Parts: sequence; structure tokens; C-alpha cells
Amino acid sequence: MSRILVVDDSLAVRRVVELALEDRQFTVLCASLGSEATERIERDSPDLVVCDVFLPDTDGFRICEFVRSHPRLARTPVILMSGAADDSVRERADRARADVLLSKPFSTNDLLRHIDDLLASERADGAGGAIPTRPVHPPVALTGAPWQGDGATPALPLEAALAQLRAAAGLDLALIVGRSGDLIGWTGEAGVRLEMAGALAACVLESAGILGRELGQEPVQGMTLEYARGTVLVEGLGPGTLLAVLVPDRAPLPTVRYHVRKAIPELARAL
Amino acid sequence: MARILLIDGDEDRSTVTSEALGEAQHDVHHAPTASFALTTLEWRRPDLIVSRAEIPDMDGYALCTIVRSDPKTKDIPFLLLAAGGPTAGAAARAGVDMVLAGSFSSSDVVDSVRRLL
Repeated sequence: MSRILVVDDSLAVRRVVELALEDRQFTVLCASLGSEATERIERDSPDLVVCDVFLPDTDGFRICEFVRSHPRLARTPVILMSGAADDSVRERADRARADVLLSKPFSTNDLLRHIDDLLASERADGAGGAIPTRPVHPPVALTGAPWQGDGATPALPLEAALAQLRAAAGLDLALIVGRSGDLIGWTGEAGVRLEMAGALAACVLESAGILGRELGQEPVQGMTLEYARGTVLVEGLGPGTLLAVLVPDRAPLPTVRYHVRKAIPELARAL
Repeated sequence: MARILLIDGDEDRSTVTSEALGEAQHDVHHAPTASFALTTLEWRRPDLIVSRAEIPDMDGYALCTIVRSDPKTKDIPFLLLAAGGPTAGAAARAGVDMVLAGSFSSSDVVDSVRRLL
């Protein structure tokens, strides 16, 4: 039974879509904010996302980009809904690589038809090993080469890319560390021993990789360490480097994770 | 003049009702289904909703229940047009403000709208 995430701040829209989907035996997950949506996407791995373009705390394009840059869920079909589907919205939806832009108002029959088509297409790709018709960015894995992006824009210097990430995500500290624990770059509050922190992050990530192999898992993609007054996220930037960020307690973790993953290609280019 | 959202799956019948309401100086927007109506509301908030009890994808009582559950739309007056007999209990539970039941004309609809506004 497919799980579909419906994201819209209008309860009326969520409810009418939910009823139509439940009639067709889909499992429906709902969110009214972008931050809730990214949390549900991370936690529940929906088979398809239906998302309004206009949300109180973000927009549907960013939610779509979050899905497209996710290492596990990049292929998840995304349908965006908009009551103002003009050329600029269509263009933005294309850039975000949404599968469908549905104009409001719509009938649930139209929505269901798109959902059926997208899910059937996903099943066909998965079962037959067919080449995906929708371009998908390769995930950034610790053992693989990082995605370099389209190279159309010049790479920012590392310090600037880190500072940009820190500002966007509201981080206290961001470090880039080599696998042997050597500090390559950093930005933020320097009230800690940076070299020690970097070396320990590399060590913990190495241990996580060993644990993963013992448990028969794929190579570790990243780690989340929860402390009393904050969270540390560790993500691979490619072979030989990792990014460790200190997230203050007040920051919404799914949004931070989204900004971190979005910044990874830029940081990798800057190295 | 009020903005009215008319929900009716029958195109001919909705044209007659729309024309009657238009002659009473109202601005009428027609939705053929509940889903069309509910996905219109956030962009085109009406002053009053007129809905048939029998619509293609949902009954009018369920539609009213959804309208009443959304903080953004819960205060919009709702007139239900029911072909069957009076259904006061269902209407009250759904939060319908007024029911026109049985046999009625488009001028009855216009009068009921005037009373609700």
C-alpha cells in the first residue's frame, strides 16, 4: 500500500485530498508546514509527495529540492499544487524537478490520475531496471565521488561556502575535516578545541562505518548525535573529507539537515 | 453584492441558479465538484456557499463539515439545497446554516441567500 504525503497549510485542501486517497486505499500522511514535511519525509519515506507551492515557512519548490537531494529518496515523485500557476511558477517547478505542477482548483480525479501514472512509472523503473526518464542527481556517499553540480557557476571559496551554510542553517559551528582528523576549514564560534573536535568526529564516523558493516548495512551516509544542549550532524563530503556541524537546540533539525545537504555539492567543489 | 460559491454537478441547473443569483447582483463562481470547491476556497474566499446535497465526489453535508473544520473558512455561511426531504439532524451536525429541501425554485434560492447575508 503506497504512502502519500500531502503538504498544504489549508486544512480543507488536505482533507479533501486525504478522503480521495483513502478511498483508493492509499496511506495518507499530512503536514501543514514545510518543516513538518521534511521531518515526515525523513522519518516516513513516502512513496509520493503532493505539496502546495505556498507554505507558511517555506515553499514547495524547496521541499521538492529537499527530496531531489536526499540520498535515499531522490526518485520520489513530487506533485506541486498552485493556485497561481503562471510561467514563472512553472519554470521554478521545472528547475526544482517536480514531476507535475497541478493548478488549483482541481478535481481529485485529476490528482488521482497523476498519482497513478507516477507510481506506475516508478514501479516499472524499479522492477525492470529501466533507465529513469527523470534526471536524478547521484547521492553524495562517503565512499563515492561527490556530485560536482553542473559547473555552471564558479565555486565559492571554502570559507565563504561554509559561512553561507552557517548563516542559512543557523549553525553555531561548522568544520571540514579530513579522514585522519586534520582540520581543513571551519566557521563559527571558536570556543572549542577545533582540532580535537575534528579528530573525534572523524574517529566516531569511522566507528559508525564499522558498526554499519557489522550490521550488514550500506556505507554510512551521515550521523546525528543528540546532546543536552544541541545536536551534531556529520555528513560525508566525498572520499577523504567530512563535514561536522553543531546545531543549537533552538534550530529545527529537518530544516538544518536540508540546508546542510543542499550545501554539500558547493562545499565539495570548494575543496 | 456578495461573492457566492455555487457547488452543483449539474451544469444546466447550475446555470439557471447562477443567472438568478447574478440578476440579484451577486458575483457567482461555480464549482462542479466538492474538490474543485475546496481547492478554490483559499484563493477565492466567498461570502457565502450554496451547495447541493448531492454532488459527484462528496455529499453536501460532508463538504460543510470540512468547511467548518478549517479555521480559515469556518465562518462562511452555508446554504444546502437538498432534493430529498428535510434532514435537520444531518444539517445541524454538519454546521449548515440553512437547508432548502424538497421542491424549490431559483428565486427561493435567491431569497435564502438574502436572508443569510
